[in-house]
Amino acid sequence: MSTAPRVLREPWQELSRQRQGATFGIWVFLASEALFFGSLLLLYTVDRISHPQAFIMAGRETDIWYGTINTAVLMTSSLTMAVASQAAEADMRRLTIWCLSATVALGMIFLVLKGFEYAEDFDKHLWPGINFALKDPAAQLFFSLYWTLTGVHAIHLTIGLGLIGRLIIMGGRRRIQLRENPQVEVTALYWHLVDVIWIILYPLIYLMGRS
Amino acid sequence: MNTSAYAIWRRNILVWLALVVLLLSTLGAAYLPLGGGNLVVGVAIAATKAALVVALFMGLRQADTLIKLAAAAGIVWLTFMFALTLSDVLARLSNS
Repeated sequence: MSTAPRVLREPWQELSRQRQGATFGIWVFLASEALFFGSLLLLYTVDRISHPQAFIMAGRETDIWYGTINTAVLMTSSLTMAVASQAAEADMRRLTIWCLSATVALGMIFLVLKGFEYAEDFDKHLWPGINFALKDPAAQLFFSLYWTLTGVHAIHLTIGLGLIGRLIIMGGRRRIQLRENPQVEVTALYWHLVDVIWIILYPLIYLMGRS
Repeated sequence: MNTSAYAIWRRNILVWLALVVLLLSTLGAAYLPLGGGNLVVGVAIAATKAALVVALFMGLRQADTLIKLAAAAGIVWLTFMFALTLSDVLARLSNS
């Protein structure tokens, strides 16, 4: 038996109810996140409808290889996160911690690659403003959305890394029990949403004007 | 214990493989000269990948009705936001 403190918290009387409450809560939060990113995507849609050629020209300037590799990295992190969450349910503590650590490592690889990509973007003068590389002013609309969307996504991902890191440290030191702990599922669901958002962004940012 | 760890990996790696295949096909399709079709293909594949993650990795497929309703609420309001805004934007565009 684990020596970690019990998972059940006030005001819940049963763990099953607590877990339902936690899962419901995070899904409501994720739905609000969908609206948050959705409003930015709506802006993208409207700007793109108004300036179709400028968006295609600007989209061609993004680095498709950083984008594609990072998509694969993030999808793989979703795999390890899903395994971690299901292993926690099955009381496989070592597999859970191992997979949580792999998820953090993949998330960090994503951020490092994104950093290299940002450096390249700066070198190519793709930051909207006076020295912007492209002539068409509407191309700046694309790149302001590019920086906003990927930046906000990176902030979400960093928060996710903190949440998973917390589970690894607390779980590894047996300060919390990972089995049946709603915190594991809530963290996993949040992480998957960060992946889903990137999956949606990928064709809108990287796949334009390639043909 | 080992068999069930195997079962967990197997189940999830199948989803991951499907995601990788879809990623490679969307990357390849981006280089085909489809005109406006490129955007349609890109978004359709992204939606399929997102649906796989939500249904299988996030377990929405087996979730309680209450959870499905919460997730659907996000999509419903998103649809309203897009539909109402675009009805305005597209109407102005076609009148200009």
